[in-house]
Amino acid sequence: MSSFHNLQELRHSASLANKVFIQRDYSEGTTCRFQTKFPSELESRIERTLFEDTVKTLNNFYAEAEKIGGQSYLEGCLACATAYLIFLCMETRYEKVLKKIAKYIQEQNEKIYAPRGLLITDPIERGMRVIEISIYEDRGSSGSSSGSSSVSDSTAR
Amino acid sequence: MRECEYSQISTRSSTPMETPYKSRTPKRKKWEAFPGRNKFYCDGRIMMAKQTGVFYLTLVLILVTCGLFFTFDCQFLAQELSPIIPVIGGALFLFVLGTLLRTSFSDPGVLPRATPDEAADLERQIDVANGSTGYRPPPRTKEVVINGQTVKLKYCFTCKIFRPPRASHCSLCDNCVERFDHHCPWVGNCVGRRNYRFFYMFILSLSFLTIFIFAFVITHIILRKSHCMGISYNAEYCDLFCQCQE
Repeated sequence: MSSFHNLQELRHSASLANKVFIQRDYSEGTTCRFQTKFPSELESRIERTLFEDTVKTLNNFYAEAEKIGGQSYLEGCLACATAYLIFLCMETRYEKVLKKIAKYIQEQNEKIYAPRGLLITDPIERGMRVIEISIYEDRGSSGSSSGSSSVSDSTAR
Repeated sequence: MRECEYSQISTRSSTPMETPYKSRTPKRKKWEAFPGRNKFYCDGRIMMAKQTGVFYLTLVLILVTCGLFFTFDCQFLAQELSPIIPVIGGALFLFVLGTLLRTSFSDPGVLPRATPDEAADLERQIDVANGSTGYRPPPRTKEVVINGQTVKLKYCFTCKIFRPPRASHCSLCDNCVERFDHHCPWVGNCVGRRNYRFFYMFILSLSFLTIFIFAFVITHIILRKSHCMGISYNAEYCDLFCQCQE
């Protein structure tokens, strides 16, 4: 639970400096994918590989959710036959994956992003159009971004 | 698209430290703060358009027609032909009602409006691109390459977003809807990505129900007439609604 305190204290002791929006990547069609291009605003805040890993994992999750295969076909037929009443009892595959994504984002926030003064908003909150990353500046520091990661670590403790 | 009065977005909002006890105040639910012109019932579980008069008309039409069918025709048909006819009719009727209610009450796939921060960020990007001192509204379209084809994404002035492909703004509900088909007054809601399957099944099952009822009502009339013809063959007048004595 100590990692959770980091997020709460982040919000209370830090102020929102900026927000970065990762747009959708439509190059491979209209399925849900986000651009893995590393935004310049995050250059001093987080390592490129960590960020790209996060976005790639999210893209994989979405691809899994939208995959059309045997299971989704059966689910669709069953749903149609029962006039979609079956969804009163069970969850759709897409909803299951969305829950997994929410858990993954929270875990990433706690472990990787909050210690660096960043916060990822679940894209579902923004209609799957953007991944919103909030950049927090620690109130104690004078706004210098180079020392902010160490400063936020000490405030989090 | 009409030209709208465009004002620059202000992102001035209270910082976390200014309202330290914000979590104590009861949180407003999303549907209570919904910016579109939708009506919500049952604590946000039901979402409909503002004008629902025609939807009630649809309900009345279906209920009255089916009610008359079950009252006057089913008994005769069950005796004369097969008891399975009212059963199938009942199942079809329930299916039609179920899909109609699902279509009317579910979210068609409304895109949430851009937060002030996002809209301001977009404006900042455009200003940087234009290099202008004053601000002007974001351009109407943004080009995007999808599978090698260039597609123009339109900007929505109300929702302050670039609409994804196949999304459209419903002027009646004042929302951008994903894969927007049309706003159906009969169903009292928009038909979009999330409720298209219910709408399609409603239309399909309603067609079957209509044909079913029509066919069996005609059958009923013909059978009654043939009964009358058979029994009171010598009668001068053969009334279609005569009492048939077995």
